[in-house]
Amino acid sequence: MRLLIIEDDADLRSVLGEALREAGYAVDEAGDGEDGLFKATQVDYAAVILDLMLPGIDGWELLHQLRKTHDTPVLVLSARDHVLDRVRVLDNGADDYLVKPFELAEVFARLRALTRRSVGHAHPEIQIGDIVIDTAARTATRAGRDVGLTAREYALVELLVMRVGALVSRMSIHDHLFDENEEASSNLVDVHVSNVRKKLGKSFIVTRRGEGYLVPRREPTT
Amino acid sequence: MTRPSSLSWRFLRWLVIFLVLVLAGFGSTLYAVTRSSTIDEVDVELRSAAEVISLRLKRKLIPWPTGRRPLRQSAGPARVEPDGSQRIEMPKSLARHASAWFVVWGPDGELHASGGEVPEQLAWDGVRRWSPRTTPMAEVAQRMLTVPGNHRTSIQVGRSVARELDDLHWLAWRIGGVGVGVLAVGIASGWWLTRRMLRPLDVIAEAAESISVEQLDARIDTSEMDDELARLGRVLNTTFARLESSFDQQTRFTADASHELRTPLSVLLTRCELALSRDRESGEYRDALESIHGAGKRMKALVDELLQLARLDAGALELTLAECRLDDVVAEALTLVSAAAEKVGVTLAPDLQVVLAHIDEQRMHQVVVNLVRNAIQHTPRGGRIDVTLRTAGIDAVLTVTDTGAGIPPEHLSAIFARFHRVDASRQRARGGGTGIGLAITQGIVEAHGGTVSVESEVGQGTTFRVTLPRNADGRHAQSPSSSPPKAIRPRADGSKRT
Repeated sequence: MRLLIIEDDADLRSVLGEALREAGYAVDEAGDGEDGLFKATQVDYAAVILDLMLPGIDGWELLHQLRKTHDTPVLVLSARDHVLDRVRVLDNGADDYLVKPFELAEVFARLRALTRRSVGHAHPEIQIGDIVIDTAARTATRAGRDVGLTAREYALVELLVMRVGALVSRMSIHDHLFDENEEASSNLVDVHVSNVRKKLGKSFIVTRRGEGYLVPRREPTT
Repeated sequence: MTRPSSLSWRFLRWLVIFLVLVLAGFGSTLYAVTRSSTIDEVDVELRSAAEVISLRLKRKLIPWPTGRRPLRQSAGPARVEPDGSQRIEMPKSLARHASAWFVVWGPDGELHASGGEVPEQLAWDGVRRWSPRTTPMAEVAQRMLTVPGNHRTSIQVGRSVARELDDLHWLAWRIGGVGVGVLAVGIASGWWLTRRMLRPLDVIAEAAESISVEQLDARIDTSEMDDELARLGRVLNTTFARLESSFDQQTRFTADASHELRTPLSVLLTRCELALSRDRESGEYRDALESIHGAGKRMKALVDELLQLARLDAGALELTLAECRLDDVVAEALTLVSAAAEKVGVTLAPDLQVVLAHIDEQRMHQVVVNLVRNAIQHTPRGGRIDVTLRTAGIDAVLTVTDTGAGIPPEHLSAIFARFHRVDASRQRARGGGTGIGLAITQGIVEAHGGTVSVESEVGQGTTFRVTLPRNADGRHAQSPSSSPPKAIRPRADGSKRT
C-alpha cells in the first residue's frame, strides 16, 4: 500500500511518514501543492493524505485538479475545524476529513476504511479459501492460525487480495510496496511473493509469466 | 407585540394634563364671560327701568305719608288707587318680562308703590344698598337692584333671571361636553401620534435586540424614517458594522491562533503516540523527544507572541525607557539573526549611524529581529538585506530592505494584520514566523510613538521603514489609550507613509 502525504509542515510530515512506514505502508511525501499534485497524478496511490493550507496550490485547488483525472481516496487533515470547511472539502471531492490534532490510531483506521472501500470491500475481513485477511489487524490467518506475515508481505497480500481474481503487474506491485526513496529492484517483488507462498501455500498466488501475479477466486472451505 | 413604552405613556399623560388645563381654563373663562355679560345686560335693563321709575316718581303727585307736599306735581301715568296708594306704570322696557316687578319703599320701609309680580318674600331690609344682587325667592332666582329715589325713597326693581341662569347652565353643560369631546379627540390623536413617532424606535429596538453573536449582520432599515430617527438609525448601523467587524476580527484571530497551535500540537501528539506504540532503542526515544521539544518550543513562541499581542491590545505593555545607543541595539539584533541568514544564503548589509535614543531597548531589539527575520524569510538564496539607521530631525529612521519577491499591492495594506500571510500558507520551512510578528512590531513601535511603513515592488523587494522619536518621553508609552484599542481599529491603514 503506497500513500502520499501532502503537508507543508516538515515536522508533521516526517512524523506522519515515519508512523505510516512503521505500519507497513510505503509513503511518499510532498511539501507543497505543486509537488503534491504532480506526485498524486503520476503514481497510483492507495490513498492521499492532504493538508489544506499549502503554499502554491492550496488543498481545495489540488483536490479540484486531482478529481478531474483520478479517483484516488483522499483523507484531508486540517487545522480548520469549522463545519463549513468540512462540508466544502468533502463536497470538493475529498473522501474523509480529520481535524488536527488527531490520533494516529484514527488516521490508520480511516486510511484502512478508505483503501478497503476504494476497491469495493466494506467488511474488514476478506476470506480466500481457508485464508482470512484481517485488514483491521493487518494479519493473515490460515486455518485459524496466524501465519506471521511481515509488514511488506502483508501489504503484498492485501494488494492482491483486494483485487482478487485480477492480474496485478509486477510494476504495479513494486509501485505499491516501495516508496519513492527506496531503491528496490523489481526482483524484490518476486522474493516477497515467494515468501508469502511459503506461509500461505504455493497455490495462493498464481504467476502469469511476463505479466504479473494474481490471487485466484476460491470458494471458502468449510 | 410592542408593549406601550413608558415614553409614550408619559407623553400621553402630559398631553392629557395639558389638554385638561387648557380646556378647563378656556371653558371656565367662556362661562364666566358669558355669565357676567348676561347678568350685566339684566342689570343695565333694571337700572334703566329704575331710572324711569325714579323720573316718574319725581313727576308724580304723591301724598307722602309725612304729609309733606311733593315738590312738583306733574301729570303722568300715575293714578291714585282706591286704597290711596299711588300707581306707577311699569316702564315698558321692563314690562316685557312677565316676572318683572318694582317696589318703592319709603324711608322707613313703608310700601309706597309697586308693580308687577312682586315676590311675596320681598321685604324692606332697611339697608340702602345700591349694588345689584341675585337672591333666590320661592325657588326663583331674582335679580334686583335698588336705587335711591327722591325724598329718601328707595326704588327696588327686579325680575326673575331663572331663564338666563337656565341658559347659562345649559351653556356650562355644552362647554363641558365639547371639552370632553375635544379631550377624547386629543388623546386619540396624541396616542396615534406617539405610536407613529415611536414606531421607528420600535424598529430600532427590534433590530438592536436581534443582534447577537450568531447574527451580527442585522441592520436597521432607515428608509422609512424621519430625519432625526434615520440619523440615529444610521449611527447605530455604523456602530453595528464596527461591532461586527471587530467581532469578525476577534473570531478570525482566535481561529487563526488555534489553527497555528494545532499543527505543532499534532506533531507533539503524533510523535508521542508513535514513540510509545512499541519498545524502541534509546536513540529513537532521543529523536522523538527532540522532535517533541521542537514542537513544544514552537507552541511556546506562539503563545508568547499571542500574550504580547494581547498586552499591546489592552494597552498593558509597559515600556522601560532608557537612554541608549540605538545602533548598538540594531547591531546586536543582527548578530542574533545572522546565523539564520547564513543558513539560507542571504547577506546582511548593515549601515548604521550612531543614534542616541530614549527607548525600550529590549522591545526595540525585538522589533529589529522581527523585521529582519521577516526579510530573511522572503529573500531567496543569494539575496541581500540592507539595514540602515539614520537620524532625521527629532526622529531615528530604521529601514530594512530585502531583495525578495516583493508584496503585491493588494496585500500591502493588510501586511500588519494578525496572521496575514501573503502566501496562503506558512513559510515555516524557512524558520518562518507565525504571522503575528509584524502586528507585534507595529504595536511596539506605536507604543513608542513611532510609525512603521512598508513599500514594496513585486520582483524588486520590500522596504520596511520604522520612524521613531529619539526622545520618546514616555507620553506615548504611558498612554497607549490615546489611540483606539487595536481590536476595533481597522487595520487597513498599515501603509502609513512617513
